[in-house]
Amino acid sequence: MAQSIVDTTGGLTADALAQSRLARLARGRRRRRILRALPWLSVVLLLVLWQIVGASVNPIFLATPTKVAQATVDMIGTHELLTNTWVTLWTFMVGLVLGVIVGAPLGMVLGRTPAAAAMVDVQVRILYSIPVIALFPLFILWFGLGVKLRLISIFLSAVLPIVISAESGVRSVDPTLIELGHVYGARRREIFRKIVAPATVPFLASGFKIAIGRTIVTTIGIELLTSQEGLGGLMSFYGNQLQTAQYFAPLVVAAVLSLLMYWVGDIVERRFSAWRPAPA
Amino acid sequence: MTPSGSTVARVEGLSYSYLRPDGVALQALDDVTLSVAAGEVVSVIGPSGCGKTTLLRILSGLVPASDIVGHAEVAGHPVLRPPAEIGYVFQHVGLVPWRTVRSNVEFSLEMRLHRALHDDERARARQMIEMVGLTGFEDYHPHQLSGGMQQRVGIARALATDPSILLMDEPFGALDAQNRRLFQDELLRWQQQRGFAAIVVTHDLEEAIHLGDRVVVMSARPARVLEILHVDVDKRERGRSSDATAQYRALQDRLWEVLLPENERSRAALQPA
Repeated sequence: MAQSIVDTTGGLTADALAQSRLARLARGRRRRRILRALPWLSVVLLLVLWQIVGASVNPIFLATPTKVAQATVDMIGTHELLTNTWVTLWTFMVGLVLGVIVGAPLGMVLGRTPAAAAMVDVQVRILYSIPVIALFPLFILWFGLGVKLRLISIFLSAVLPIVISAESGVRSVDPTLIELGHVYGARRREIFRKIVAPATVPFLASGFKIAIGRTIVTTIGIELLTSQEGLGGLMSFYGNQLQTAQYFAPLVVAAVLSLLMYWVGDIVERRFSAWRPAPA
Repeated sequence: MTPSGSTVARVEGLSYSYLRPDGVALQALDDVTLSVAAGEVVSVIGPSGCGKTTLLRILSGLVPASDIVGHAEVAGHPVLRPPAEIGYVFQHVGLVPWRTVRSNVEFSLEMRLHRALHDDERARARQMIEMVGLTGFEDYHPHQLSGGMQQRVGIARALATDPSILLMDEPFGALDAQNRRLFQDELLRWQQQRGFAAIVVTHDLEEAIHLGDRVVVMSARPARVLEILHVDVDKRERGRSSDATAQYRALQDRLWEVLLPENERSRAALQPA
């Protein structure tokens, strides 16, 4: 070994060093694979635990996963599960889409017209800060029980976060970019279309994600309280009948749908949250 | 280089006051008279916050014509709306973050023409990208570029409309000293290639002398023209020959002499009463 040079290899040959690095990489890869599998494992564990506990208590309090699966198959057979899933899904979608269609332009206009914003900002904030569920009794009086009531409630849950995010998006456009447009003679329309609107997109995407979360709560909530229809309607019906397995079936469907919707919200937010393309 | 006869930009007896958001009226410019000949580079220097940027904003039509006192014209016409003859280089570059380099350079033309670009116009943008040395980076987004490269895009964007005068607001302020010097020399080369005139606002004495055919020294707010120095060094020789270096030194000393009391005045004005 050379005298004056500090040896950091611990006396290993280059070959042995490469070997140990490879081994470390392999260990890392194995650890990542285990981490990816863990969520699935935990779900399976939960189901097993649920089965064991469920079998040992009164079935009114808790239905076992196997009973729930059986009920699910039965309810698919009678078409009630799919029909009601569809009802929930379309009211949710229509309310959400209307919320975006109305909320995005409304928020942008408010962002561009300080006078209008000064008029309605307080009301918008108040409406946004109380849960829409708190307005159900009033809405029932106004709109009766039915699909109109549900659509309006869902729409309201979706539209407010969209309005607020669009408005703050328009307000936070870099003023240099607006000046840039002016310097090169852009018309008002062009400044809106080529600068303000695209700059607002990431804000809208975040608002959309929030809207999804709030809209799911309202959709299921209003069905539970007022409807025989939809997944919430089924839950409320079978819950009241103490048919716990039949109650769980729409609950599981609702949970899966919610997960899917949150996932969609995540994707939308990530895709539009930055103007740059995702790193390759 | 001697500036040829015709004037591309001129202000006469120009004064401008504005209200700060807290309601205090401030005068930014006081009776400023200045003209820029075709192909001439004029540096404007003065204490920070003195109103140099305001001068550019007025010439580019960003300040409503009704708000100014005096006269401002570009290419022989009073500035009532943003003139088609100017290109503007912003202090903070102001690239559109969701557009690529190519699309940022095309932006100025798109706005001017109010339509999608034709092939020859796209070719012009491509030519500008080539000139500023960004060929190969056309599909990059601004956040993937260094500060210097971003300002190159800003200059290419300004030149894409073939302006007769470039208004530059501290264009190299964000660059380190070495890059700044390289960039200045390049700018001079582009300027001689394409023959545009320029007003360069800066707070860097050396930069003012290096770039300008003339250096306009402004006072602390409200900005008045204190002195106009001529830089009689051939642009190709700048910073090279010892003769030029000597003249630089002399000019720099003179600039300091004029500016020092102004800087003190401006600092005193910032002190709480």
